Amino acid sequence: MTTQREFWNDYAGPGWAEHADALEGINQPVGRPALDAAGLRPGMRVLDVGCGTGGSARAIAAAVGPAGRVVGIDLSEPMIEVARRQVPEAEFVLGDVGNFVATEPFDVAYSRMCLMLLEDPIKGCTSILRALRPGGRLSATVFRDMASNPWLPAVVLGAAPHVGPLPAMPLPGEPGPFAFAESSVARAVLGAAGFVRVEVTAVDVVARPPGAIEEVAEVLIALGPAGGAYRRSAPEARAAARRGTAGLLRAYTSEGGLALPCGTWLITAERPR
Amino acid sequence: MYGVMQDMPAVTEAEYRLVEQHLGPDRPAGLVAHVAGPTADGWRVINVWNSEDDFRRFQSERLMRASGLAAQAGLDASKAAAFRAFTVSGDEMPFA
Repeated sequence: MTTQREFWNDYAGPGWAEHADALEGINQPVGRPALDAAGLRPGMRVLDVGCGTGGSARAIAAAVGPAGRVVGIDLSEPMIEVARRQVPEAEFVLGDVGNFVATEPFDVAYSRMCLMLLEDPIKGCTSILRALRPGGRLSATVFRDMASNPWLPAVVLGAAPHVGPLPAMPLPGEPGPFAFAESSVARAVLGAAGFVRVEVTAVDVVARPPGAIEEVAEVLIALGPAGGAYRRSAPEARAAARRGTAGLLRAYTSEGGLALPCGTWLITAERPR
Repeated sequence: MYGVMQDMPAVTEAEYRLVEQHLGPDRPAGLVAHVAGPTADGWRVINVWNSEDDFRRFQSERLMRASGLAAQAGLDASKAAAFRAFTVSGDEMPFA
């Protein structure tokens, strides 16, 4: 099985780093509900779990201001390098959140599309809980099931016939985009980690990435399981992969551009006081 | 031995055959037995492999490609990729 460290450093991470700005156009609307629910105020200390290339850390830093503190953690070296370069107002830690030890307690832990990717989600969420002050809040978002996010498999399958072997799809219990598809998983994981007042709410958003469909297809291929094989393929194969993915994504066009339906869970929870 | 049961909601026999057609005639390395058939809400495939590695290799090197070709031939991509899987490893199988 491909580990998350391998996946985010060798397969998908370099693609995220290369297309960091374009990806924010997709990720911002997905992460916005959890950002709104976090109740950020100037002066707060915030841990950004799975901060990637720093787009969410930038938004958090703007909300907490210079009196606040933002620490982002991610296990992808190429993505953390971009975050450090682009968001100097935040601090960044390269590593697994399961091993993170806070030097001072955080008021809020925020996470955009990361909890379902943790190899040991209870250990990771226990670390998050221990990093919070008593009464501190977790505000996170994860994907629901594949049926709510049908464009995600379209991206991979459009490219798959044209590039080399892809990582095997995750099986139940393994980290992956749909590991938290059932709301009961988030409740069980956070409960086992010690969180209280766990609320899991379905939120549907539409991401409208700008640009021609084939350009967006390239970005989406690069950020997923086909990213590594795509980068290693010959130019003709990459062009065929872009056409293949663009062809499947045309089912999700509206008003002249892509409109990607994203079914998510908004998760909020607290560390007991 | 490594057993995998995959339930694919809303998938029909014709859609299953479409993926099968793109897999080609070569028997996957390490595949011991394969059965498939309809369920109340879709299609079920049960495979027994010599090892988990054989299954992972088949997924990585052949199934993803075949599913992609089937998607481009009209199979709904989310149907091709959505499945509930249940696995049993050799030490849990009484006759392994």
